[in-house]
Amino acid sequence: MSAVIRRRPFQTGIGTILFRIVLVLLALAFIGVVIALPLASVFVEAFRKGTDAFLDAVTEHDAWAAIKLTLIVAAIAVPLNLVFGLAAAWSIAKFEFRGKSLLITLIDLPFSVSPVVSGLIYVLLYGAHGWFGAELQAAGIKVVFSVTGIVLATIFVTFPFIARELIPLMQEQGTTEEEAALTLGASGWRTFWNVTLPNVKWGLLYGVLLCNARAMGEFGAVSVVSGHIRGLTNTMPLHVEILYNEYDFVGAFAVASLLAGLALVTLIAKSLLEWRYGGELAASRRH
Amino acid sequence: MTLRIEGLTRRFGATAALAGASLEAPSGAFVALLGPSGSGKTTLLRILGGLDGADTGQVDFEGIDWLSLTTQERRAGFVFQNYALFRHMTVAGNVGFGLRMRRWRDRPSRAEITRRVEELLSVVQLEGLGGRYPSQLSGGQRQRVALARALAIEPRILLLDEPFGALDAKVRKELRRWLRDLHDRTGVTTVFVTHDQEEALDLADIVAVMNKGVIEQAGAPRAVFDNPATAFVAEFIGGAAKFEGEVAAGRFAGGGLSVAAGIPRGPAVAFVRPHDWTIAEASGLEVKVLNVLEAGPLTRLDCRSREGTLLEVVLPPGSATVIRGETLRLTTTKARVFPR
Repeated sequence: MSAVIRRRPFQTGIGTILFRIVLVLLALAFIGVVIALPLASVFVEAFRKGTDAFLDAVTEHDAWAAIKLTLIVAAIAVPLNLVFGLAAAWSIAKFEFRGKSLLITLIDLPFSVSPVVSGLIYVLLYGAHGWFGAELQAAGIKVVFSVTGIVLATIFVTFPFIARELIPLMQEQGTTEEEAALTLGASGWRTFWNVTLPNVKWGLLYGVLLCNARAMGEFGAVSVVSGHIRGLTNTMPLHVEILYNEYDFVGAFAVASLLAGLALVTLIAKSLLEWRYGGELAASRRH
Repeated sequence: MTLRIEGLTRRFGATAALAGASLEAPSGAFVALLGPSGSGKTTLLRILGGLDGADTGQVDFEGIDWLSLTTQERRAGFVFQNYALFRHMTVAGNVGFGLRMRRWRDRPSRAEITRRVEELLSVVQLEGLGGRYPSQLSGGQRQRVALARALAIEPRILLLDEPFGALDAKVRKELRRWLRDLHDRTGVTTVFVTHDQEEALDLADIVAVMNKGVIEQAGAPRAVFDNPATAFVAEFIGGAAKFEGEVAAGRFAGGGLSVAAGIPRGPAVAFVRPHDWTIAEASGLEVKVLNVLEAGPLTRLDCRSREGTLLEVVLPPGSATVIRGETLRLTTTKARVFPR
């Protein structure tokens, strides 16, 4: 439903115009200092010694390994959280059961816990000296200081994004469309595919984009479980830190610029979605 | 009798939504479930539609143990109060949904579905709107899409929850006539829920008045209107004024009213409808006229008795003029008295 925007009668005194200009300038200055300048500086620093130095830095063996690992981790964590998030949101929004508020709190847990603590939990549980460390070692499974641990930590940290995006949407949509589908002869499974899922597809895509951005950018939790083994367990954010600490500024900013580029692509995709499907997004949200 | 509902109960926690509702209706009947909010009428409809289960009781429909069927097996066309149209599908997509959801053996071809959808859209007078989305339609149009969607599955029974609740008065009247027409053409047994007695009495073959989870009275509109079986029905239908008092020696007395009563002595309650008052010369219930409404062919008076009962009086055409603030004496021969 499109809201009717009521404009106040225009006030066009010279004082108000000046006031407006000052406010707009203030806002622009703030955005410039806090967002635009730092973002620009990342790219400026990355290309400070020319394009060749930039390309060398990104194609260098360890950097390339970090890029691949980041993509692999996101490729595992995002689809899993898509399924988990959808299942959690569906059960919370469409059914009544005992312990529902506890479940909602649990879903929010990764948001409220510091990522470093999230990482430490995995070390404590699955590390060599952790609760299950001996058993895992005997079975030949390595969690901490390995890709497995990084994936687990990333899943944990990014779990709420999709569920959080979907729960309010599904709750607001209620269950009558599903009920209608049932009376029209659709099975539960077909109702889910034909009614529930299409109704939340844009919200779901939103959640996936946010989840993906975080999965690629996560630092704290991954830093604790990764062990920073170059070429093996270093993701892009970790690699940036290492290079920076070694005073390899061009390298650090080159990899950082790739991360920033990913973020920009995500933002553009999100804006495109809003622009192209704005009407349908609004229709399925009705916020 | 082909729809037989027997002793349905349904509890939600501590509250009993249905407390032994029973009803019988012939095949092809147009049944209204009429009652105030919270009387259990929607719960009963949802149980018939398979959207909720009964705790105890039975439903037999055309010889089938209805409650043992799954929601899908019942083929009950359900029209929801807010229509529940699939918002991401076009009108044609909505109407054809039931046909597309059939098992592949029974599923009509794509061309056949398109043809049936066109046909149904013309039945509900929405030709050419198949490509629109629900959000682009008016309330009355959405309502008709919801009906077409329910009719597409060739329902054995049509269930409508407050079908005209969200529409403005003019559209409501039109749609009411149209729905009655449609029912007479298709002959599908139809049950609809309403809290509007005028709608129920005007439209239905059988009116079932519900209160606190039971059906207090069911019958033809005329019979229910003329002979309320219980105090609740007498109060709920016809805008009657209520007087509490005692019956002694064949007369009811209470609230300033004194009328003949054919029930045994004891506490009782009497109801008098607005049309059933006559202005008397000397004796009768003394009331003060609070307001006079003269729009339309009849004059309506809002009155208050000395005892504080508010009542409405409708004067027949050609009565003497009454002015606001005047004191009148009223008598009646049509009071309905029930034990309390």
